[in-house]
Amino acid sequence: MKNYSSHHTARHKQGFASILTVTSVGIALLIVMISMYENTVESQKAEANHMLRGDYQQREEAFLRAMTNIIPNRAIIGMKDNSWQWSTRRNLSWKQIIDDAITQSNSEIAIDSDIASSLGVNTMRSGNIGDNDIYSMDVVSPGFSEQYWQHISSGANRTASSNYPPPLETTNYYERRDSRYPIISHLKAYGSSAEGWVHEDVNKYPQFNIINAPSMHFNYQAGDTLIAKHNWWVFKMNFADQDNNTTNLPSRTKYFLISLYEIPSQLPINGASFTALGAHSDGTEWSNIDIQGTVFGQKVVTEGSFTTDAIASRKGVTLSDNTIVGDLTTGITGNNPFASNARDLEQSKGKTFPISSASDGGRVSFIPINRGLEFYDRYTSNKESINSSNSVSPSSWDYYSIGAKRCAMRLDVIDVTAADNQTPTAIRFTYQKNGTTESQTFYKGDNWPNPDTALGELFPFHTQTTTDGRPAVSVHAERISNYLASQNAESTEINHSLSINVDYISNISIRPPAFPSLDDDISIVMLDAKDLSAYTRGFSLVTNMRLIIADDTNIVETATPDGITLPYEEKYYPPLSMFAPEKRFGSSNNPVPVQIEGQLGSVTKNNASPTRIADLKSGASGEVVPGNISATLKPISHPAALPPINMINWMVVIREIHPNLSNP
Amino acid sequence: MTVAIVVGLMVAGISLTLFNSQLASYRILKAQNFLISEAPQVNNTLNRIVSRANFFRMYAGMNDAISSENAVIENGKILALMFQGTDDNSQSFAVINFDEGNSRLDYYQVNSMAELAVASPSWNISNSIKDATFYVENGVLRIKLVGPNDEEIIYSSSTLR
Repeated sequence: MKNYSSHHTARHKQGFASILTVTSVGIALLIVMISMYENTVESQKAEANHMLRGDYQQREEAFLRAMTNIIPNRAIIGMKDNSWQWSTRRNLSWKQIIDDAITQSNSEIAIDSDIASSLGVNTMRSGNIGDNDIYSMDVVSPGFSEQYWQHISSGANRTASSNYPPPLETTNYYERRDSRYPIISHLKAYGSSAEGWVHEDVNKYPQFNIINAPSMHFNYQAGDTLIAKHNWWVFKMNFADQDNNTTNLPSRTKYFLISLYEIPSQLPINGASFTALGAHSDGTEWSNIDIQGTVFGQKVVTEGSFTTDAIASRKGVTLSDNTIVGDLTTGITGNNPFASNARDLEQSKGKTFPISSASDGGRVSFIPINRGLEFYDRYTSNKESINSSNSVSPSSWDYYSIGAKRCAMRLDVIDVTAADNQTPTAIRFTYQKNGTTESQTFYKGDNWPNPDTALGELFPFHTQTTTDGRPAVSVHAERISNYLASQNAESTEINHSLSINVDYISNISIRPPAFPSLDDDISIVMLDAKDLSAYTRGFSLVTNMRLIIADDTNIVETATPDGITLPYEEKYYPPLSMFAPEKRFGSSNNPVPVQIEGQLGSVTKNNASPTRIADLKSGASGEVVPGNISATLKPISHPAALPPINMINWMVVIREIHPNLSNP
Repeated sequence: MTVAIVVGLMVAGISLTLFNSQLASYRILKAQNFLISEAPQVNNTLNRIVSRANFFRMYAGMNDAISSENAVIENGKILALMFQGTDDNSQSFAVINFDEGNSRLDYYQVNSMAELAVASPSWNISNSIKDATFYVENGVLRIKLVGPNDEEIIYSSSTLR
């Protein structure tokens, strides 16, 4: 019994040792495994967090890109009459813009419930913890805390500082409205608060001043400054914060600046459409056309040998084999300048790559305000005033976007001989006098002076027949200023621009001019325009008829305004802009030499074949004689040199406001 | 008794083998640590910084970076990112420098590139990196990281456009 007992005890002890060994080895292995498991779990968690951060960043990025495209559209609608009606207005608010940008950027739930159910995954739990509906007011809030009740903070009426762009001034009422809706208006202007922060006198140039150009990959301007008005707003954004309870992801709220630059066309060539540069339509290369500065086209293609300082476009650039842009040749850039390393090589040298495209970037959109043929016609709508009615913005869209409506003086053909003979028999001349408009009506054979009488020799408007037999109104530009003075009208400081249209609304005998014009449509003949120095702010003419520039125009120099420094021996001429769907140079039937200094532009719309901006036509048949055409095209670099009527472009940019290190 | 010793030895042998294989797989996993945990973190950091910068430029060495000269588009060891101020006038720079001596990837925040001469790193992106190279391919910034065991990983990024 004792033996058995001791034997039993010995076996028990052996078994105990084995169990101990196995257990301790097992525990050791378990610890190693747990440690490895924990390590894996940790790294997976880190990976998941990185993915989630990347995901949030991409969603934020897509949201900002969507915003860039939505804002100008809503700002335009807000300028149209009756946009204050709730059904329209609610779509224009910043809140709605943010909501729409969230939808457009597809930054909400990853899979719609109906797609999920058709995939059969609707009953499963999602492992995507950041997959949530986004509530605009939770992720976006005003940038300035004192405007907490707003959706986005307006940059108007701020105190200027180096942290933000120079502020615009407006009334408190419109400042508040600007925080609820994107407002573009003449009532937002530079005032004393921006003095010293913009480059020119704010009293002289409250609308378009010289400002610092944004440093971007898209460069409309050639240098560091730009003639523009900079509307801006500030908001802060954090997409990650609202899911923080489930994701436990630390995140930082970022501040963003929305900029809408209103930019009057100031480049040597502004093509609001698909534009070909370098050759005429018959294939002859440009020979006497010298361009200084950046040229802009919606889409640019260069042909033959073409040289310029820089090219900016909206939708891409294609270069011919013999193009030189800045100091780069096609040999360096390739036909598609964005496909090569040329841009990076230039930027690595600290230079700005001279070819840029707004479509190449996500957070820039460049929009020429292009109404096409409507730009020339005051009768496009019955809107006459700069002020809108019952709308979100106090400025009228038609007035803003139609050059003919912005003109201070108007000449309307109000009657013609007959429907099949468009020779004008009555005109109405409207001008500014004592702060309001005054109209005079002249009838042929009654009070419209005959050209060969003493009175007629002073009167600025007559009728004539062109050499190719078209009925025409001749405009003696130099006589207008004297005529205005004789009528005690405002000076040419205010009466600086003239629109010439036909009133086809009230008189059915009058035909709206066709484009291209018909042989019996009315033409406008520009005469006596050699010396425009009486127009101290410049002169603009807008017409929807064929414009025949019969003689030398604007060839008498005038005093250079303050702030403009001209190169040695260069003369200053009053700013002149002439807008017409068709221009012909010379009144004879034969082509004449055409020499132009200044800028060329185009408002063609949706053209499949490119606009040839330097095809300056002359003679009755509108011939383009390449050897006759010479032009020196250069940019406008000062607001004093802007003519009264311009084409406007909008540039929308959204940028992050980085914490300022030197001035925290 | 012999059986007991044999069984004991077998248990010990198997335990030892198991333990060894565990350690081996742990070492294998640890060797891959750079690719699975360090590199994504470096990528995340770099990508988030680069994509918010306005422009980048790269240099082969610190002296070139300080004087802003001889920028390159291949074999860069220093990546300088320019951030434009919202007044369109001021600038600041984020500089990412591969410090070969200490196998570190450092981050500097400076107001001008010349400040690099005296600046100390604001923070350290990675300590376990053998090499980092920046270069451009077809307009895209590439970042090649080499880990402590010669693992290579290439990330792509681009600045704000």
